[in-house]
Amino acid sequence: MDPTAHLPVELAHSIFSHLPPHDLFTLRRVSKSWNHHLSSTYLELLVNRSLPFASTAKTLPERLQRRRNFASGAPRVYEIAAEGHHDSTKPHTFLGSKQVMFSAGYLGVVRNWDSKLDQYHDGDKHHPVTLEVWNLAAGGRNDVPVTVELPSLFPEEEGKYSKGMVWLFGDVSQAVIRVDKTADKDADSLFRGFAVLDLTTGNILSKWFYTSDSIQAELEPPDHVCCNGREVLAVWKEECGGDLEYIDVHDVASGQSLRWEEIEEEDCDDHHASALSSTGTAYVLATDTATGTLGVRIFCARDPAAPAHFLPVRDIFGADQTASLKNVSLDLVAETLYFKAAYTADPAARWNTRQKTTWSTLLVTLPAATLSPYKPLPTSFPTATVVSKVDNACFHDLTFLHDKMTIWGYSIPGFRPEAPQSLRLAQFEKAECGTTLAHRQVEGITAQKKAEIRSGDDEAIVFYPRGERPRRESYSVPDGERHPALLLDFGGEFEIPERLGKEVSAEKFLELCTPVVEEEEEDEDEDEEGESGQAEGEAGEDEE
Amino acid sequence: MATPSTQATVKLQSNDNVVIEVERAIAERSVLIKNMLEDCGEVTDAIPISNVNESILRKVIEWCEHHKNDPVAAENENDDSRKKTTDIDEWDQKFMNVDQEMLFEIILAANFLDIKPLLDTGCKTVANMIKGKSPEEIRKLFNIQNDFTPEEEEQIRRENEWAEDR
Repeated sequence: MDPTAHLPVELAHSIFSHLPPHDLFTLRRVSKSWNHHLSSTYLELLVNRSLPFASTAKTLPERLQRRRNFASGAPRVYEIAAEGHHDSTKPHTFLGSKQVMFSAGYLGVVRNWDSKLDQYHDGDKHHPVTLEVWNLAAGGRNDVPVTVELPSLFPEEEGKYSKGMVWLFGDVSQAVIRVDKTADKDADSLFRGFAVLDLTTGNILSKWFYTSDSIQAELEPPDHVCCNGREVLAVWKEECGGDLEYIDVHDVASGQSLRWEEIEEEDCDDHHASALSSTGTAYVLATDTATGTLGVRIFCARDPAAPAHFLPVRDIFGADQTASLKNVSLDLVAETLYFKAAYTADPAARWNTRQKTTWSTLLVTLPAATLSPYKPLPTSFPTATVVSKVDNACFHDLTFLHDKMTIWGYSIPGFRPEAPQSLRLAQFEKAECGTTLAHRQVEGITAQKKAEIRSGDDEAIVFYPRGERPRRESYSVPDGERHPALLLDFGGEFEIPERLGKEVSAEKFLELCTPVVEEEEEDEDEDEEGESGQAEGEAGEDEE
Repeated sequence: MATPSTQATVKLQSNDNVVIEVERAIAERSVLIKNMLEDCGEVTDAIPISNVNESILRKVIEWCEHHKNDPVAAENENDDSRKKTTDIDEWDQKFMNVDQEMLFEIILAANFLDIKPLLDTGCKTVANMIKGKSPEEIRKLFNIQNDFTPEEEEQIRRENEWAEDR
């Protein structure tokens, strides 16, 4: 008796969850049904690709239920396709380019947005740029999409070409939309507008904008945008590598500016981060130019007169003055702050990437309430946890799961371009030293061509760079087991952008990696073959 | 909620209409039955177990009798207590030494009755049957037809090549 045929999918998956990770690769070859259970070909619909970022399933039954929903072939997004715009029997395709985001149960799709150029031409009446937001969480308040036509947000402002970005904040049911307008494709911005969208009602809660006259300096797009439901915090740097950083806080309800601050700082390309707590405390990584010290600016977003603290990251990690810290990041998840940095005792190692050095990845976890602008800073911090220590390697790209302290990452031995190609996937739980999940020689990954990892609550997804077998793989931990439960193979259809910094959010990353699928009228099967073949051909050419 | 009952036994009725009387404490290994009894208080009628036939129900009761003194895992401990092992104690191994059809029926019954330790034991038993076997051995074990073409099978093998030890 075939267990995949006689047992519900959640029980079949429960059986698989007790197996060693690498057995699962073998099991895919048993039959098409087993391959189906373990490779999720039913997830190949375009929109579904963002679902692994879902953070709604908190318990094992919920996760199993989610998997059952996937397995049934009828996830809610499929219904969206049926009701909204496309025949549900066909792949979910879009006209032109698009931007797909996912955050805490909300799925955002920007239609007719040119992802590559990060812009749209709003003069095209036939293809108006719209943002659709769907609430995918069970029992969600809105079962119909909130739709906003982006050009209509600032209709009175001149500018033929528009650029922009959307940040989705599912936790507070809001989205922040940025629209820049320019006279020409390559011209500087004439106008920069922000709008805050209520995802439950579709109402624009507030708008504010800057014009070329009001903007004193040419600004890059914000490096970070945070929103806690009451305030929006944007952090950006002066254009052209200037040494000014701007902190901009607006009130969501009124759109009024609450804070505009210029910070002189040294170049800190390898550490950009900001966070905004539910109580309105902002945390921004910045370098103090007077001392050259990297630290965290802690201030009340709403009250410019309130005191601000500067906490050197060395204090947080307990590093002495001669040590080297890099790749510093901060994350705020459920009112807990996570500080992560790569550490070595050798101060020269930071700048000499050819030097053989052992880098440790340190992690410090703190309740956000302990770092308040209204309280003295702590004089001591928890001992940093060493989540990885790799000889002559750096553990890249740690990501956080929301409901448990689990981190995924990979390392490449050595920073040299000619370093042996190797991938190490590891998972760490509850600040214990990590256990290697997989350590394999992988073609196509080098110190220069890195893989990218992003994770949701229970899955970590590895996006491989273009190479021999570009693909995305999903590692699932439905019951805490460390094993790959799903493999999502997409062939060579997407490409990893050349440079993805740590500042790129999972949503942005997904958007950048999402392949462009042109809508075709021909037979579905023929379409798929054609697209696949074309993509492979293009990948091969690019490799050459 | 009804007043907690001091009732010593309860009657369970299988889907082939056989009524089996068991100690309440044993029946309450099933979270489904436990919740039902807590909600309803004194239950004199047989509780219909609609998804389980007599032979499987007796088998499940046998397991519950043996494990009636086991500590009940707290709700939030379930994941930890169930994870990362395929170890099965000796008695359970013998208990699960049944034909495949009955094994799957036990798993389904444990799932329906919400007896997580039994469900885990069943899943681990099947996992142990699978572990370390080649695709061909698994097909033979479960009488599964290989519906891949050689090309398709080779394609999957190639896709998973990166994970092979080399």
